[in-house]
Amino acid sequence: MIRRMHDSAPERSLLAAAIEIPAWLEADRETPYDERLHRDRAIAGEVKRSDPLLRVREWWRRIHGHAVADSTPTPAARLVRAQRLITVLMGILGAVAGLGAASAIFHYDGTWPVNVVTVFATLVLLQLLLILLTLLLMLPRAPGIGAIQDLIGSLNPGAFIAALYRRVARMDDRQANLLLWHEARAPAAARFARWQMVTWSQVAAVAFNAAVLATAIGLIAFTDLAFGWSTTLRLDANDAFRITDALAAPWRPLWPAATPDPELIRSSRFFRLAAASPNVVPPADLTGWWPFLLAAIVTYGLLPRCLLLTWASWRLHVATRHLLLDDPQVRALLDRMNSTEIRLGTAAGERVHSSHIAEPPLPPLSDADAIAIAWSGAIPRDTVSHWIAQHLHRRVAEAFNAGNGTLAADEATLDRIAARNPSTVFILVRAWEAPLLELKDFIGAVREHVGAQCSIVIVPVAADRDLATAAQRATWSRWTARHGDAAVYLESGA
Amino acid sequence: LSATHPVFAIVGHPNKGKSSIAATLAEDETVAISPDPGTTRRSHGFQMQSDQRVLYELVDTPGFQRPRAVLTWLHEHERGADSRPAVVREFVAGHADDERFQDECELLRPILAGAGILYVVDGANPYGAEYEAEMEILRWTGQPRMALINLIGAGDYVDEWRRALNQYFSIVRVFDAVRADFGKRLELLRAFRELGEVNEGWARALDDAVNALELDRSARHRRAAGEIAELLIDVLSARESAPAPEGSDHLAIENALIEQLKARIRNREAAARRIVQDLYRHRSLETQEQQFNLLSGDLFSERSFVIFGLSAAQLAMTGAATGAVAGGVIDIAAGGASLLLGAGLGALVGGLGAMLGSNRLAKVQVLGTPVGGFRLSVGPITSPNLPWVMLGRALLHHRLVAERNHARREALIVDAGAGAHLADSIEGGRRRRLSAAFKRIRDHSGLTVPERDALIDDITGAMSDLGRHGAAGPAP
Repeated sequence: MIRRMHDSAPERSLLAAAIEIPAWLEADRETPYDERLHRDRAIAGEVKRSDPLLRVREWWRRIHGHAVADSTPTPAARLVRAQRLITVLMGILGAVAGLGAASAIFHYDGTWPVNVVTVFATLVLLQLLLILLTLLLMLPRAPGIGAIQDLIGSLNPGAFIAALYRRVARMDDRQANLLLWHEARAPAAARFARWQMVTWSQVAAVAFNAAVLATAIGLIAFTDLAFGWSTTLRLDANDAFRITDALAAPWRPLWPAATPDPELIRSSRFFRLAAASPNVVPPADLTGWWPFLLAAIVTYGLLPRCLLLTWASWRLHVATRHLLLDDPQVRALLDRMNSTEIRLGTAAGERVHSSHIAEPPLPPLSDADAIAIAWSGAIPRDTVSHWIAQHLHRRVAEAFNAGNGTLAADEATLDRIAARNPSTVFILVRAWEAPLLELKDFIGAVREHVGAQCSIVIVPVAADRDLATAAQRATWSRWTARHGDAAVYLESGA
Repeated sequence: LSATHPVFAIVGHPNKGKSSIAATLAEDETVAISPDPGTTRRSHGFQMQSDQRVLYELVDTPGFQRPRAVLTWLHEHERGADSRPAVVREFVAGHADDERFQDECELLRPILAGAGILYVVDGANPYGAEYEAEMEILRWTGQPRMALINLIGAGDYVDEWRRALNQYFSIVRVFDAVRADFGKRLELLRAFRELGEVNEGWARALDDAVNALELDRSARHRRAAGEIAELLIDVLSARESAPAPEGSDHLAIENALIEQLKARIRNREAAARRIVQDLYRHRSLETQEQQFNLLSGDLFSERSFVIFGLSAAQLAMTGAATGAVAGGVIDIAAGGASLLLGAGLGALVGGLGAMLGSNRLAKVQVLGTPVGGFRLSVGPITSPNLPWVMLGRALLHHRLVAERNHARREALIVDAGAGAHLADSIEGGRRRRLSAAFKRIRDHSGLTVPERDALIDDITGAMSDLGRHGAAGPAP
């Protein structure tokens, strides 16, 4: 009835929980609600935590403790594996891109120095632009920016790699949509997919910056790099100094040497280098830029990306938490855990006995010496003869009352009946009443008094002396058939 | 039996609805109910518990079978009015193993242990003097007694029953066990309270029981509203899609998808019905409900190109943006002299290239898997009437189920026609909010938690609206 989930680790990732728990709860809906309420309320009594996430996970741990291990990987396990693989892939891609970009940008073959402006434009300005776009993507979806966010999302390498991975890994299940920015539809899923995509891109960006930094440090340490600067914009050395001075403001207190001085800026401009013989340019003028560049990459590339990664990871955690807690089945679970359990009790399952019992046979046609008894005032005694003549087309010699006085009165009636030695005794009963054992006792006593040859005919009469309904007749018919006396019959008239 | 909570023994003649009353009050559809006498052979306790605390207990008992014989025995052993309960106790003790009086002993035991008496008769049929022996035996027990006039058929003999019962019982109430709605059940519990006033603890427990049941009822309403909300969200955001490669029969694929979608919606609706019934403890209830016809014309369908999860339009935008970046590099190289012509041309070329090249790109395979292709999707259903019809049907079903008595055993018939127009009786402001919620579901394939909670509030309110206006078609 309920699929038991695979569990190989004592504590699953939050994403696995967000997939597995709702899926398990969905299947669990086949279990009667009261049963689920009883179970979940009992677990809630043992869980002391108040945070809903912790309560749900604690509940899951207790439920899952009873589950039978299953070796088939679940969709949740596949998804978590995909998520981790894509994260690693993004890290590798970012690192490779960083390594390649740094190698190209810091390329120096001894003929012309590395242009500081190019380094700054590609490794700082371009990154700042990308950070700006990422921030735009992080904003809540609102009219006007939705289309821009879609475009940025389409360009996002995280979305691209996830879509490619899904195709290659043939992950066609619904859960795989969670990894795809363009296919996650419901609000909680869309939010998760967005932050997943942003997190992946930030993983790549952090790896990129780290690789750039490492490559730059490596090149600076192990090769002989020379730096200069050049731009077609109308900038003189003073303007350049003001710009670099402003850019270096964040790290100046920590690393004063990483701020280029006016002399370095003036002497390392390309046309000055071209005018002077390289041999006469002091080495500090060619290499003095590297502290500034490294500090800029760290401050404007690596650090913002690390912050964004932290922020995105936290948001992803929140989105995953919502993925779990916003699920209707999980909300229903929390409702059950927090609700008072009202039990109204259950009977022990007494079953109705089969009622397919053959109709009792019709009594033999004989009017000789027939008498009638109105049991428990089924009809007034003085109307009995007329009623039987009208509805049963029989004639009775005398009518008696029984069943509504004392047992002694019934005994006296029986003696009078025996004295008449009847061939047939009609017992008129109230059709709507259930046949009691008291009546059975009375019929047994009649039999003792009138002998085995006498026919005893039970005649159910409805209220107001009407004929018994089909349902009433059926009840009496079954009772008569069960009575066990072959000469006890049933007639209900016509 | 414990004296710490109120206990009531339901006693009477066989087949007067004792088990129906137990089934109704215990909301237990499995209680054996049969027209044949002797269906209940043993006493069964039904405890109402609120988080392990027993608030009251009903004991369903077998009916009297030989009351006059019992009364005769009691008269024979009478020692005075003060010792009558003791004489009854002696009868039960002396006949514990007597097969003839098994039913009487079984029904008298809980009473002698302290249970209040709920004596059940059928007010749809005439009073009979043979009941007097039963009532007299009960009077002999000395326990607090209430008579319940049940109505099993169409007749009305309530007045003559009242006249007779008033002589033996301090409280006489009419209670139709098979048709009593929740309000009537609470009224009955409040009447039990009058019976329980002899014991202050009992009265308090019964007050708590009424309060707990009312709270539980509201919670169940809200859970049912939540289920209806989920049904609407699932149906309004339902889509089906399948690959539709070049050269395939798109019409056949579309028809197959439409059928899939219809089946999915039908199954979803049936599942929601089952869950709502389960919430009200009607798991075995058979429901007869007409399916409504989902028109294909109300379905949104499209065939679109998808690559890496990107549609053709998204792909073109991506191509344009990539082209613009490449063109921008040329602009930078030209020192701004190109007046951003490079970026513009790059965007145009990139966008067009992505659009025109999409077919070829679709055929590209990575590790044997094509990276893209055409997909045909069907849904969501755009008919503005659909959510209202579904809501109306769900509200009607809910009302019938919520008020359905657990003693009834016939199938539940939901008049689909009545349900379809039920939404008309929802209050105006609520209708507008619901309409806005339906639109949001379609636009966003679902709702956020606050939006969903608001939808559940409105559906719960709509349930009340229907209850107030009594516009829910056939009576439950």
